[in-house]
Parts: sequence; C-alpha cells; structure tokens
Amino acid sequence: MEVCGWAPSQVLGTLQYAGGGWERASVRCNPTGKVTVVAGTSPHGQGHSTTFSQIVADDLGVTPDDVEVLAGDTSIATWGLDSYGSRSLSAGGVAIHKAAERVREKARILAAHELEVAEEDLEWTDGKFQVKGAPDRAKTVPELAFSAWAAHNMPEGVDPVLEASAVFDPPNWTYPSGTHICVVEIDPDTGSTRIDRYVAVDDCGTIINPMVVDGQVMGGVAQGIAEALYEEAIYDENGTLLTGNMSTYRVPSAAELPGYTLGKTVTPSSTNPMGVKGIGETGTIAAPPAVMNAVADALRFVGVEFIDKPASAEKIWRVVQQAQGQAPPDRAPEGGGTGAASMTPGVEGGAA
Amino acid sequence: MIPAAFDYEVAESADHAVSLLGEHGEDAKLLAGGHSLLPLMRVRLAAPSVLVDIGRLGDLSYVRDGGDHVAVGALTTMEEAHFSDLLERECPILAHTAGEVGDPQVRHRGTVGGTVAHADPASDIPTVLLALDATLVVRGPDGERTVPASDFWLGIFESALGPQDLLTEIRVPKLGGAGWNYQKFHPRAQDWAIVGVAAVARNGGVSVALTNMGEKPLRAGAVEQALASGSDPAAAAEQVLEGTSAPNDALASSEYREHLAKVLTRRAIEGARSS
Amino acid sequence: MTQVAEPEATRWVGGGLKRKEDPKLITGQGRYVDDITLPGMLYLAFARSPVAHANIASIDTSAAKGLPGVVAVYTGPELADEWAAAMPCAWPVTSRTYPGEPTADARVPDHWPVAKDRVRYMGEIVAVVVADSREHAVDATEAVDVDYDELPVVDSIEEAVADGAHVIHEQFDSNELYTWNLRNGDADRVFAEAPVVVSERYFHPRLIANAIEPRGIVAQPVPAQGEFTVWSATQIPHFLRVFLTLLLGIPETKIRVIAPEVGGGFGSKLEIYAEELITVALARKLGAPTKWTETRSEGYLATVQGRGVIQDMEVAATEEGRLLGVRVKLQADMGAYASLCGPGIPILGAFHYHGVYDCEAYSFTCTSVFTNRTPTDAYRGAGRPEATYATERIMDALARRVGKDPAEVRAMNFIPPFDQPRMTAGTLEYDSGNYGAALAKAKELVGYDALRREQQAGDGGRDG
Repeated sequence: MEVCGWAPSQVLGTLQYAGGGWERASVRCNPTGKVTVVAGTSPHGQGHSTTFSQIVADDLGVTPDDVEVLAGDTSIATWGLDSYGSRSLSAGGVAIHKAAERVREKARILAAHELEVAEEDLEWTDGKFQVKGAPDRAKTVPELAFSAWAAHNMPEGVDPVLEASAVFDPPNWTYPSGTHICVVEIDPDTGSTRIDRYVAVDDCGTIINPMVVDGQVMGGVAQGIAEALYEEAIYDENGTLLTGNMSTYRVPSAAELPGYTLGKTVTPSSTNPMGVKGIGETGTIAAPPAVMNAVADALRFVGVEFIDKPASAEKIWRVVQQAQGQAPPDRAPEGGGTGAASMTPGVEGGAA
Repeated sequence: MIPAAFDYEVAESADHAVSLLGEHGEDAKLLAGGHSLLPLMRVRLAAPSVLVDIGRLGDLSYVRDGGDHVAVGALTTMEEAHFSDLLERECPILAHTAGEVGDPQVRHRGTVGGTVAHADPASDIPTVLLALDATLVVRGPDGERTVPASDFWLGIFESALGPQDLLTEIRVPKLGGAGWNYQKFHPRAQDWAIVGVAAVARNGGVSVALTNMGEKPLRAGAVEQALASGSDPAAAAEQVLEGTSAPNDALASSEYREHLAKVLTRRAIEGARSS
Repeated sequence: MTQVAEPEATRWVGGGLKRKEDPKLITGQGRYVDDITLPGMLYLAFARSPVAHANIASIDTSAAKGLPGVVAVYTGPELADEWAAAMPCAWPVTSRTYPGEPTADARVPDHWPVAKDRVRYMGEIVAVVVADSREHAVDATEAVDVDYDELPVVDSIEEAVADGAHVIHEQFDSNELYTWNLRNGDADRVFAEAPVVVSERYFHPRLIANAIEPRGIVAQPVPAQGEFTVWSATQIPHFLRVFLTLLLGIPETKIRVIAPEVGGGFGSKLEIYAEELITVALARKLGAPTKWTETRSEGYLATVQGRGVIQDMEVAATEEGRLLGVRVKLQADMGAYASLCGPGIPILGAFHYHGVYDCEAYSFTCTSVFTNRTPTDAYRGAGRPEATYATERIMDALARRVGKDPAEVRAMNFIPPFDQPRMTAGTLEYDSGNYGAALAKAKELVGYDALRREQQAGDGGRDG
C-alpha cells in the first residue's frame, strides 16, 4: 500500500514541510456552451485533461469534448500547488468537482428562476434541470450559461456569469493498496531471469478512467521491474558515476517486459467526497518487492538465503555460486560495489 | 551530447571516396550508416575533422552469388542482409546474426561493412565472419586487395584498413547445410553482447569464435582442437578461455564473462551440431 | 497480451475514454520547451566538475570567451550578486522524535547555482557559457580551464557515517542532516519478548528517472518592465515562480512561469534547479532571451536521483506468523546538498513500514547523510516504495521462518476491511481498505494455488 494525495496542509506543517497541500480549481461556463476548467495541478503525461473533463462532464451535463482544461501557466492557473505525490486527482480533481458543484448550484437557482418554479421542484436528471413531473420543461447548464452572460433576467442577489472556484485542503491522505504477484523463471547457467507472469490488482478507490489507471499501472510496473532487475546508478570510490548513459544504466525496453494481467478492486476513500485515491505511484511501489520475492522464492531451491536488488544475471550467478560453495574470487566490476551486469530475457522479446 | 565541429564531403564513387580520404588525411573518417561512428562522435570520443559520406554509393549494396561464396556489398544494411533470401539459403548464420544487431531502427541504417570496419570487439558480425573464415575486399590508393578475416581485426577499433582504404565487399562461404549457431548474451534487446559465441560446423570440425572476450574477435582454437580430438561440447567449452582477456567493466565482471563464455560455447556447439 | 478487467462505467466517470491530449502529442504538434525559439535568443551551456570533491584552485575562462559565437562566460563568484538567497530546501527536516519538538536545528548548507570555490559532486556547475548557438556554447565549455585541488571523497552512506569521516560541510560537525524517530508502543519490549524475530537488510541503489524529455528552460525578459516569461520543463511551475522571486529578487507579479508540454517527470522535475535560476538570471543580466536544454548524459549527473537508502528491517511475530511489532532503521543518502524535498523523502515512508498489516509496536528511525554525489529527491513513490519493499520482503521472510505460505501469512495479518478512517500502528489514519479482496483476486488471476502445487511437484525449477 501507500500513502499519497499530498496532503493535509496542517499535517505538512507538523512535518516541517514549507508549503501546503491544498488545491484550487475554477470552472467557467462560457456563453456558447463550452466549459473551461482551470486546474492548479500541472500535468506532465498523466492525462489530467481527459480525467478532469470526465468529472466535469458528469457534473454539468456536457460531454468531455465540451470541456477544456487549462493548467501549468501561472498567469492562467493563478493558484496551485502543482503535481507530484499522486495528488492531482485526490486534491486537484476534488477541487474541480467542488467548483463544478458550485456552478451547478448557481445554475439551479437560475433554472428555477427561468422556469418559474421553486428550486425543490427541479430535479437534476440526464444532465439537465427538469421540472418534476414535467420533463419537457428543462434547462441545460450551457443554456443557463448564456443567460447568466446576457444577464437580462437574473434572480435577486445573484450576480451574472456562471462560474465558480473552490479550494480543497484534504483532511487526510489517501491510501491506495493492492496485490501484485510475479512469477519468474531463472536460467541456472547464466543467472538470467524471465518474468513468466505478472498480475497487478490495484485499488485506487473510485475510478474515473480505467484506461488511464491501466496506463499508470503499466508504466509504474515497468519502472518497478526495472528497479528489481535492471537499474542501478553505480559510483566508484572517487565519486565518479560509472553508469553515465543508457548503455550502462539499463533502462529496459518493451522487449524486456512481460505483458501484464491487470485487475481492480474498488474501495472508495473516506478522505474526499469522490472516494478517489491516487494511482500514479502504485506500480513502482508494488513491483520491486513482487519481483524480488519471486526471485528469492526461486533461489531458495538452490540454497540462496537472501538476494537484494537489482537481481541482475551476474548477481544471481554469484549468490548461487556462493550458496553452493563455489564462490568465485570476490572481485566486483571495476569500481562498483555490486554486480553490475543485468539479466537477459532469455527468450526473444520477453513473455507476450 | 553534441559532436565537435566537422566538415562533410559526399563521395560519388568508391574511387572518389578513396581519393577524398587521401586528400583529407588521417583525420577523415568514412560515414556509412553512422550507427557506430555517430554515437562516439556525440560523446566526443571520436572527433574526425572530415566525414566522407559513402552512404549514397548504391552500387556497394548487394548480396550476390559468387560461385563458391556469397558476396555482400559493404553498404548492405543489416536489415537487408537479415532478410536476404540468398544469404538465408547459403550462409544462414550471417543472415541470422545481422538480425541480432541492435534493433530495427539501427539495422535499417547500420551496414555490414560499417560494423566490420569499425572493429569493436563487442560486435557480432566480425565474430561470425571470423568463424566462417570469410574474406574482406579492400580498395585503396594502390588498387584492390583481399584480406582474410583472420588478419583483418587487430585491436580495439583497429583493423587492417589503412587511412585511405575503403572496405567494398565481404565474401562468406556457402555452408551447404552445415550446422551453425550464434549465442548472444545481452541484458536488453538492443544491447551489445556481454559475450557472444559463434559456432559453424565445417571442414569436418567446428569453428568457434568469440565476441567481446578480448580486444578483437577471437577464434577459440583450443576449443576447436578439443572437439577435433573427440571431447564433448561441455568439456571442449572448458578450454574457451585460452588466449582471451575478458573485459571487466560496469556491464559485467571478467569472471562472469569467463563463466558465460563456457556456457555459451557449449550451447553454441550443441546448437550447431543439432541444426 | 495485457488482459484488463474493466469495471462498469457510469456516465463519463468510470468510462475508458481515449485521452484528449494524445492526438497532438503523437502527431508532433505538442510544444515542448526545446521547440521554443525566440528572436535574439542566446544559448547556455555549463562547464561541470569532473571530480566529486575539490576546491577550485583557479578557473580561467579567457580561452572560452574567445571562441566563435561566445557572448559571455561566468564563474560562481562573477554571478554571486544575482542571488538574493541560496538554493531552497522546502523540507528542512530536523532531528526529533515525531511528533515531539526538534532536538536540533535544520542542517541546510548553502547551495549556490554555480559553485563559488568548492565542488561537492561530479557534475556540479563551475561556469556558464552564453553563445549564439547551442553548439558554440558546448564547444566553449570544453575550453574553460579549471584547476581542482581534490579533497577526500565521501562516496557512500557507509563512508559518510564512519568514525573519522571527512565532513563535507564544514559548518556542521558530521555528515548527518538529521536522525528522525517515530515510536508507537514499546517496540523494545515486544521484540525482546517475541518468540520469532526476523531481520534483513535491504539496499536501495540510486535510480535515475530517465523521463523521456530531458530538462530545459527558456527565459524571455522584457527589460523595460522588469518582466519575465519563463518556460520550463517542470512539474512545479507555481513553486518555480515563488522561488524565482525569493532567489532572484524579481517581484512575483512580474514573473509568468509556463510548463508547456512536459515529457514526464516522476519527481525528477519536482525541483528548483540551478540551471533554471541561472537561465533567468542571465536573461535579466543580458536583457535577452536565454535557453538551455539538457542532454541525456548531462542529466544523469545534473538531475536529482532517486532512492539511495539502506534499511535494517525487523519484525517480531508469534510462531504462527502473527505480527507483533515492526522496527526499522534507515540510512538515507541525500547527496552533496539538501535538495528541494530530499530530506523529507524517507519521512514519507516513515509511517507505514507495517504496510497493510496490524501490529502493536512500531519503531522507525532514519539517519540522513551527505555524500559527494548528485543530490537525491523524489522519484516515483518517494519513500513509499522503500517502505513497501521492506515490508513485503520481510513478510516473505517471516513466512519462510514460520513455514507457511507467504499469501497465507499476509492474509492472517491484514487489517480487516474498513471504509472509514482507522488508526494504524504507524499513527496514520488510513482512509479505507479491503486488502483481502485484492489478494484473492490476484491469486485467482495468476492461478496461485496451481502454481504453488507445480512448484512443489517439480524440482522447484527456480520458479518464484
């Protein structure tokens, strides 16, 4: 499991972190019906524009294509605490949702006024405000956005334009969890490890977009497998980085990685009204021990008591030699403290 | 990284390339596919003052039946060599190994001649050519000559090519169905071999050659002799270290390479005998 | 092929919509920092220390200045006036037993964008070249002539904490930034009395994030107004704005920071970098747009690295495998300086070394140290992968010790399902959890029972 969704500001203060953990968003309904969301988070590959559009689309009865998400510019997103620590959805997305709800609340007042009914006589159904018992009498948020912009007929005490902002300071972190199981096969002659099967079942609470969730898990698991079997920054005793580029620092490619079987359970978070938790970091959190436990489990059969990561082919070869009493001379690769060679997938392209 | 500044000339023919090399002297380098040279230039381990681009010499790209051999033009890409029906039929170990070099992007640019001339002891194709007793055809200021594979690679990035020489053709024997195998141990699909072993059953015995076990590709003479005198593959493989000096670096220790050499030699011999 | 189990979709939320961002990204219409070109733009390159620890005995930039296209070359002392403050550490953790009061001050050494008189890691910037092209700038960095007086190198955690270790930051009495403790329950008694104690040591080497896009920055000044527009490949444009104000003395209202398309970060772009500060400072100084783009191998030295932790992990348990206590000691490698969040990264994992399992006693201690290496900071998971790694590996070790299946031992120790905040052994209130459900589903998807049977039946075959 992990703790993420950075974070309750007050708790951050007690931990001596200099900043806060709130997030702010605004939702603006433009007069021609499209919606602009301004997010304080700062995407760099996570697909925020898509997931945030989905949230607002449900909240306001529009489609995701009607929604434009702006972020990453301090002149546009004037307030924000950016993206890291799996916070963009559970802090940022919740702020967006709150802002959208405020927009809908104002829209409800407008709708009641225009339809000349009491607010209690309206219901929000199929993405619009309908008069109970008379569904043909309805108003959509885009229609109300135009009215609020023209402002010809505003109710008493209600200002023109249809927009709202919200700040959300999470009362708690969120705690995604899951179970990953890895099956490996090790070539006894070379120490090479092949991943036969990799199953990842993750629980990130309420799911906004399962494809985005899958993408995050797959990317994280790739980096986690890399950490378990391939990657290691090696320094020598002079402080020289020996693994100074991608030839020596072994970032694995798709050819080395297995296909994954992905599953989900959903246990909504109690931290926020949407029940969402984070997912961006779960792969790198779960995969290294899953893979290493598999390697250790396999090597038990040849008397190896312990092995640490990265479990490169050379390292596996050495620990097996030692366990079987045939320790080679203890001369490690030049300058490095740990076996630096990594493993081969053994079969072309790894498992399908 | 960014290469140091260099001048650039385009060769219009093989003879033009040779004369450009003569004109610009020792600091000129030939550019074929560039996939060995350019990475070195980008980290400034190589800084030629002039690049002579031979990449447009289309008539140096071919795979032809030469009677008792297959002739591969130096500018044939790895990809072309890998998918050549003629090579697949007559010298499959070369076709196969060309497909083991780097990844598809590299193979579409890198040339067989380029990797031969570059003389990196971690390259796969020179090892295979050594096991095949191939012949290299070189054009220089004094005309054309042939060099046997056994005399071609001299050291790290050092070959029998002089500063004005252009490699034009690689001649490999037809195997006539003889068994072969190339074992390449590499952590990632696009990695150079940590260790590689080529085995070809020919002339009544097995030729065995090694990738990355010294400053140049090596014939495992002791292994070949052991096999010739009746040793089984495992026992013969135990002799593989003779004459080798496996590197010790951030990629693998020399002990591990030496262990791998034995394992891969046994597998290559078994593979060649059963194919 | 990847098999995906999909839940039911509600209207849009819950549905698998293709990403709206992708069409422009995969057709090359996205605009990243390196795509930005401005009229009159000048290019920066950095001369970096090839040694890990040395005094700069002398530095001669005259040859570099004379090379084609070079506009200026600056050393650390020559840029000293640009900075209103040293580089920031936003998480200056101190020694304490949380939540108690600090028992020592924060140890944040001065860290300047360009080294003034000493370098403390290989790759630290010693000079800046400004030129009319990137190639000219890079060429000139090779002509910067530096005389290094090398100092003893503290090359590992073990060296940093050893008796008589060379102290990297002389203002402090050791290489230690802090020792931070968390205690819940009486771990010492629990461990002393427990029938089963399992201990293992884990090492987390440093990792390099390798985001697909290297770092870069463009700064465009409007000199007459003292205004700046800054494009940076950053995860934190808002923080960058705040720190540009604090460090360069430019009013916050005069700075606009834009993170354009950013090609991944994973924590490595969650930083206020010397290169960013220098690029903006030189835009101000020269009154011209400035640009810097990192190369991949440059980034290996210049961009913060992840992990770098040694853990001594222990669990106390009954003979049946029921957890009684968790006790862990960490040593964390901060690198040569305190980075933006580096000191806090181990703290992010501090509270949950017991994972999803219940126990009565919990003890966490972390000592963070300086070494002569690139500073560390967050990398995907930041403290929590380290914690989960230790927890999950020791649970397998515990299972081996008590002779039970690892999945069974875990199920035995799960916190039972809950949907409201629940206090846990590490003093966090977890929000909700149903750990058994994910385990059961994963076991089913992988065919766990059959696999274990197969493993027992064969010679083990090194299948794990």
